[in-house]
Amino acid sequence: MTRTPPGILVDLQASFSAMLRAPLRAGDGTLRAHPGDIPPGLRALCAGDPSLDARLALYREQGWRRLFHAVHDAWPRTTGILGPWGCNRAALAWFTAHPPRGHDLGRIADGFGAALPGLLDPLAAPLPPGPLRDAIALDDAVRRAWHSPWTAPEALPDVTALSAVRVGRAPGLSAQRVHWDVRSPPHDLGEDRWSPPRLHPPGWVVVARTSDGVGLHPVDPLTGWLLTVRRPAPIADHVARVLRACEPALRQTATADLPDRLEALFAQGWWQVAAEGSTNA
Amino acid sequence: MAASIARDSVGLGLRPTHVDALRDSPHAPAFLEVITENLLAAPIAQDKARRAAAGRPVVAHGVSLDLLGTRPLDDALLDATAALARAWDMPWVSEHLCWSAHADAHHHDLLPVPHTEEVVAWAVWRIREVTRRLPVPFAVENVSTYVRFRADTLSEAAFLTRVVEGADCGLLLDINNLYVNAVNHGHDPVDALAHLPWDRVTAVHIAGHTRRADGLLHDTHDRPVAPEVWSLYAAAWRRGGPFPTILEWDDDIPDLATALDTLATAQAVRR
Repeated sequence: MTRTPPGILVDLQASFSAMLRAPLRAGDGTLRAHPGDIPPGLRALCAGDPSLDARLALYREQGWRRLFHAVHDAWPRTTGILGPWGCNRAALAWFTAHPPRGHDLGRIADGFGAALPGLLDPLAAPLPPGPLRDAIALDDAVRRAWHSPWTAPEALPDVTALSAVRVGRAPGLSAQRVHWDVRSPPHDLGEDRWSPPRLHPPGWVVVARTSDGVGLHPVDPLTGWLLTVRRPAPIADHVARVLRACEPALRQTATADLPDRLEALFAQGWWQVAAEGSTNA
Repeated sequence: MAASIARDSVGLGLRPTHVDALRDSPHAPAFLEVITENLLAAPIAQDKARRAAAGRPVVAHGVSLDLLGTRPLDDALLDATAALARAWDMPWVSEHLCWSAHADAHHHDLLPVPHTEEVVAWAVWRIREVTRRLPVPFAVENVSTYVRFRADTLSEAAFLTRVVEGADCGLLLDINNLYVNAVNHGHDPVDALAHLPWDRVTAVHIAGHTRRADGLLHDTHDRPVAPEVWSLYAAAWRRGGPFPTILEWDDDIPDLATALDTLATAQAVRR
C-alpha cells in the first residue's frame, strides 16, 4: 500500500535539499555557506528568527563538511598530497557533479581518485604528478581490499604437477609499484601539503586484506610481479607471463628464487587455489 | 531469542579506535551500540564488531534510513538491517526520527521536520512499515535541530509522544539533543521531561555538544557531556528511570578509559 506524503514535507525537502546541494563558496581561506543560496520557499517555511541564516548555514556547512571528511577518510594519502584545502575544492566539484546516492557514507567517494585530474583547479599551483599518482593508486587499492572478505592462508598444494594448479590472488589483493613513499597517510591533515620523500629505488607494495584490517607490505620485485596476476590460471602460465614481462635482470635470477616465492605466496594467503570455473582474482 | 540488556545498564557506541581495548575489557561496558550502516559496510566491520563485543549484547543504530523522507523506504537497507538483527540476536534496533534524502541525493545528515499532525501521521505510517519488517523491537531517536517551522503546532515532546504511541514503537531518547533543542529554540528541557512517554523509552543517549560564539548549541559529539546535560539526565532518571544509557562520542574520540569513566559518571549522577 502506498500513501502520499504530506505536502509540507514535499515542499520542505525540495527547498531544503536545494540549499544543501548549493556548493559552498570560497571566502577568506574557507568554504562557507552564503545566505544568497537559501531558496525563498525555504525561508517561508521556517519560523522567523533573526539568526535564521546562521542556523541554515550550520546545516549546510555541517553537511558539506561530512562529505569532505568522507573523502579524507577514503583517500587519506591523496588528501595528504592535495592538502585539505585543495582536496575540499576538488570534493566540492566532485559532489556537485555526483551527488551522494546510496546510504553508505563510506562509498560516496568511490571514483573520486580516477576523476581527480579533471577536478583540480587549473589555476592552482601544479601538483607533483608522481606522488599523486602513487597516492591515488594506493588509496584505491586499500579501499578495494577493505571491502573484500578475508580467507585464511592455505598450505602450498601438495600435488605432483604443481605447475598445473590453477591459482589466483586473494580477494581484494593488489600489487602496486610505487615510486614515492606514500605508504602511510599523514597523521595530521594540517593546512600544508604532505611532502613525501622519494623512494630509492622504486619498490613494490602488496595491499592485502588481513584478519585484522588491511596491510601494506613492501615486497621484492619477483613477488610483486607474481601478484600482478589478474585472473586465475595455472601456476606455470603465471610464471611464464611474469618472466616475459619483468625486467631482464630479474628474469635471470627469478627461476632459482621461484620455489621459495611460491611457498611464501601461499603461506601469506596472497595466492589461493582457484575454485573450479572462477574467472577473476 | 534476542540477548537481553538490563534496564539500568550502561553501553557504549562502538567506534573503531576502541575495538582492541574493548576486547580486553570484558566487564564494561555492558553492551555496545553499533552504527547499522558501518556494520553493513564491509565484512571486516562485522569481524571487528564481533571482536569488540566479546560476547556482550549488541544493538544497531541506523543513521540513513530516511524515515521521514518522501522517497520509498530503502528495501535493501531494511532487509539488511533485519538480517543483522536476527544474526546478532539484537534486543532492539533504532533509527533517527528525521529525513536524510531527497529525489536522487542522499544528504547523510539528520534533518528536521515540522511538528504537525499530518507529519505525525506520515511518521506513524512509515514506522509501522519498518516495524512490520523487523524481527526485533524498533525505537526512534529525537534529533537535534537548529530551525523550527511556521507550521509547527506541537511541542517536540508532544510530537515524539504522538509518533511513538501511534506507531507502537520505542523511543531512543537523546538527552543531549533534548537539551540542545531546548536552548536553540528557547524552551525548558525539564518541562519537556514531564510530557514524554517514559513507558516507551527503550534507552537514552548521552553525548557532548559545542556552544558556538553566536550562542547556538551544535550537536557535535566531540567533547565530554556538558554539566547541564548531566543535570537533565539525572532529572530524566528520577522521572522515568531505570533505562539503559548509551554514550555517543564521534569526533576527537578519547581512549576507552575516559569513555568508561563517563559511563561511571552516569551511574553516579543518578544515585
